[in-house]
Amino acid sequence: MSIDTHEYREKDYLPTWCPGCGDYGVLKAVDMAFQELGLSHEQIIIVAGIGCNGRFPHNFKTYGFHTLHGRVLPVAQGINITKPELHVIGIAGDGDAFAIGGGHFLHAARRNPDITFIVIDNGIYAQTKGQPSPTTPLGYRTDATPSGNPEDPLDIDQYALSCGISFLGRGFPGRPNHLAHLIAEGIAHKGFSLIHVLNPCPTYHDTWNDYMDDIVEIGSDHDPSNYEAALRIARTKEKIMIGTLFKQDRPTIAERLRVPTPKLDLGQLLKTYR
Amino acid sequence: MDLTIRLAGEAGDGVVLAGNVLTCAVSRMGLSIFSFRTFPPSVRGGSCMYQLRISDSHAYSQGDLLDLLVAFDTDALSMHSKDLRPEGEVIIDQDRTPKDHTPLPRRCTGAPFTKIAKDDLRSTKVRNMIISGYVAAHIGVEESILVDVVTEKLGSRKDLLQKNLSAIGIGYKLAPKAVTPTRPKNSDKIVLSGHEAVVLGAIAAGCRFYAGYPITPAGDIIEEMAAVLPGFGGTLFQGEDEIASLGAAIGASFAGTKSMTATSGPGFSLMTEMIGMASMAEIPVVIVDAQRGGPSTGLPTKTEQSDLNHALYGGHGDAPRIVLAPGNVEDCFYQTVRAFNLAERYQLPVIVLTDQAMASQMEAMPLPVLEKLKILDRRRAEIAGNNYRRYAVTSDGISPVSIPGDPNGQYVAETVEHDEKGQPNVNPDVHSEMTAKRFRKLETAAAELANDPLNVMELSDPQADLGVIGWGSTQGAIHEAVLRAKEKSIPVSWLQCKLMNPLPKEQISKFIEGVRVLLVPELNYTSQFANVLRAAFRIEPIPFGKSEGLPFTAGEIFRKIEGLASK
Repeated sequence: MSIDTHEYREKDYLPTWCPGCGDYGVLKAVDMAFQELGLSHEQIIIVAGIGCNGRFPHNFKTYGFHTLHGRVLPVAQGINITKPELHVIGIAGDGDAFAIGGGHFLHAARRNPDITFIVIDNGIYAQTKGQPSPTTPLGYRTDATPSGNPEDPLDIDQYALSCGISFLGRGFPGRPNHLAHLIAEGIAHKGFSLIHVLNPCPTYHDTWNDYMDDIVEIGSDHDPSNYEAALRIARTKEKIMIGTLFKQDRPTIAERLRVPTPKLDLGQLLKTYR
Repeated sequence: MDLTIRLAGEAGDGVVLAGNVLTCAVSRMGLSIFSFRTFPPSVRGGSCMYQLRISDSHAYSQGDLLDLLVAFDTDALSMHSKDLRPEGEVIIDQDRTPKDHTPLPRRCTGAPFTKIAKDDLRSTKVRNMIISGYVAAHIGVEESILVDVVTEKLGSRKDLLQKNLSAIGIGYKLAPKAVTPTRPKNSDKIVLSGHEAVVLGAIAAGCRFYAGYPITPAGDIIEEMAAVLPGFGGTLFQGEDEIASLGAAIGASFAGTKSMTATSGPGFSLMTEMIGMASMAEIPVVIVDAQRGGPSTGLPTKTEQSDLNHALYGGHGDAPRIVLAPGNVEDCFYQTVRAFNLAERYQLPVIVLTDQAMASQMEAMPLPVLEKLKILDRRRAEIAGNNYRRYAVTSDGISPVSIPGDPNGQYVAETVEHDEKGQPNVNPDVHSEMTAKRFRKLETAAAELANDPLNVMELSDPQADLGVIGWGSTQGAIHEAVLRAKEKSIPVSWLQCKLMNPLPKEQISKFIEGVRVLLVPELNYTSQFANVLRAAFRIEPIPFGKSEGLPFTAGEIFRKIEGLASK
């Protein structure tokens, strides 16, 4: 039985997200991005971490790997380095990607593996019922911080730029078409792309109204190859700009690891150990 | 002939290179050789020693007291002369050890090696090669053999080579020709360190991805891999930590490439969650743990066998894994090949326990016949339709697997408890059935590996009341102790276990039934393997531990055997 080439969603699987969760929009956008690029199902691997989006791969008729909390990037890099012809999509939340998995992100950014890393940032640990994450605003009250979050949040975009990310996009599930194009651009980009999804959590950190009021698309006058301009957009607080902030062409780790080497024969090699 | 020679100096003196070329030269003469080294945690400075045990019958361990001490300086002389036999000999560098140094052993030779190196070759760096030539002449190695070894080792560096060959020639001329040259017979054996054998075994098994984080004493694996892996079309990845390294190896294996990582205790602790992941998601991967001393940072450059509990039981939940412990250098090669085969066949993590001593010990072994090696690959799924059950419950526990890129083989490798299709499912009957399915692979392995000669090494004496069970790298010392006991007509039986999980129960119980008293020597404080045996066979063995950071000597084990036998 052949699979309809335009059908990427596994319709038998039903997500269990809360009503109004931004993850539904991300799911739709990823589906649209696959359709836009027309990728083969068996060439796609969705690697997810642990959190509300952990079961994301089960929504698709592609390959998937539901890894451990914080470990999307190590697994994804092992796949990409050894099988660079496959499309590796990473999915993680803000806690997964930048708290427990934070140590992996900066090294992935340095190495530039050909991975599209979609970080669904809702500024809260939602699956464990609402504790502060690295992107929770200062003073935000949760059950774990009844007097307000005592920590300053991490600015993911400025951090990613300073780590040497080669593609940085910001999207919003309230605008699924825009997000779909952004994800497609990230997949088409040869190198490590971070798709930072500003995601409302209606249950523990509802930012729908703030985002609806403040989000604007980046103007066509922005040059994504301009690092300083990308940094300015990342820093702008009055309006939240979505779109492609930064894009740079540079060799991937898989390309750099494949240096031409004379072929060895094991039988001959063994004899050199006399 | 049975000689134990120790070269000792400061790190940076070239003690190791001198030891290595002498080891290869001795092997080429057809003699049995076992080399062992220790080094300080620092790159320069600190004491460094390289011990060669040379025998015309068997050299299975590093030897006991020294027949010859080669002291590169006074500190080395002071530190090591206590290990000399009463009739032992010393070779000193007369420039580095004052004439009035007391006590100088009665039998002391040598030359002003530093001055000669400086005057004749304008480089003190080749002092080690002058000493190598001197020692080689002293013990009867033919000059042409040593010249061949050094030429092959330094062949690509023409400038260096000439100077080193001249140094060897000078060393030979300085040495008193006391010993008649041993008649060389051509030896086809190759000389490897334990970790070189691990790397070459991995390559032979089809390993094409290595991921690791620098750590002592596993550093020689990443270096050797870097040197050879690209030549076989493989790739090497240095992760930002051990979690990332094992994670990358598991990712690569999931995508169809045989993969491994190597580490030591502290890194092995970090890898624990990933061992559970490979076990749960059923992904083949090989993990080498080069054990070092102590918990925490411990003794980074010293040896111990104290990670057995962690290898067998480390991690949360019930997570099946296979654990192997090679006994010597040759075994490192074949057990590593086997580790990949078992990982592929049973789709689970396989842990290979080496240690600091075995990592760098050098032994000669027959050239492996590659055509005779059996290489296994994971059972692939034949997919018809879209009803693929990745985690199909089978009678042997093994579920055929697809590889990303295989059309219609799509599935999600799942770390949450899951049903046969890989869908998350935490129902009681599913967890119960899937846990049993994963452990059934170990039962299948135990049945398929029963009586496999790679499981154990055994020397049984039907007359013996006393049995010795060791595991892993203590093989050589125990072997020699047992041979010594036999020479003294002390009946003793011995079994060395290399398949640590699943235990080769038939082989071990048959052995245990034949003896009355069971001694279990192991290099740890907590009798880790003795406790495994106690639980598995309901016996009360006599533990014999050592926590000095040093390997057993044959003498230590022999004296223990002698003591027990006389009771």
